[in-house]
Amino acid sequence: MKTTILLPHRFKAFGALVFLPGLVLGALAIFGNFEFDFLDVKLPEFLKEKQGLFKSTVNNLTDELALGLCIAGCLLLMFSREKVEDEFVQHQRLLSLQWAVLVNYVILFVANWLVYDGNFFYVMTFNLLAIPLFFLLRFYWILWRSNQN
Amino acid sequence: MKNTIHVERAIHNLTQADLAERIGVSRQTIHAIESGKYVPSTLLALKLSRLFGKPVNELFQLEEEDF
Repeated sequence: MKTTILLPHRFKAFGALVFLPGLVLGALAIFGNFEFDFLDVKLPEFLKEKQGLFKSTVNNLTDELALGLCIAGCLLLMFSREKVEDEFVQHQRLLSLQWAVLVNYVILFVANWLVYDGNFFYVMTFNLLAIPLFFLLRFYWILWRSNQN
Repeated sequence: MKNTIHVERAIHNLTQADLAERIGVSRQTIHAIESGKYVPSTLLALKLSRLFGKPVNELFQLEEEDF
């Protein structure tokens, strides 16, 4: 079967190398307020506020870098071919994606009623990467399990 | 749906890995088909049929619950 939107297998390792530093940096930025000083950049103010088209403001890009690395890493991990990418693997990909979307929104639905105000910020932050993470967990769990037999 | 891949494999003296390589899939796929967890595509069924020299109907059979 033709699998057109997948990257070569070697991108998977590269994805892990991008994702893990992003995850660590993100955790430090959120829970430890960590920032790289050299990532202070001047941005047009309207990117931060609703006004200020011609004014500029300083923003630190540590959290942007962390999320960028996490998203790029997840995409590389999700969309890299397996060593043998056959129809069974493709089938598991689709099932895992379906499962990940369902689990993600069930959790979001529950959290919507149980988590409030500032705490909901953490839910939304986790939610940014929840679908790829659930996908990867389920997909590799199934492949690992079928490899045990 | 049940199948006789396991039996055919024994007749032809092939391991799951051998069969997987012959038809270009992973060993896990053969295992999943044999254990009834995965129903292969028509393409794969035809490849198995050609390899074992038997019609697809003999390799795969419908069961009561499939109706």
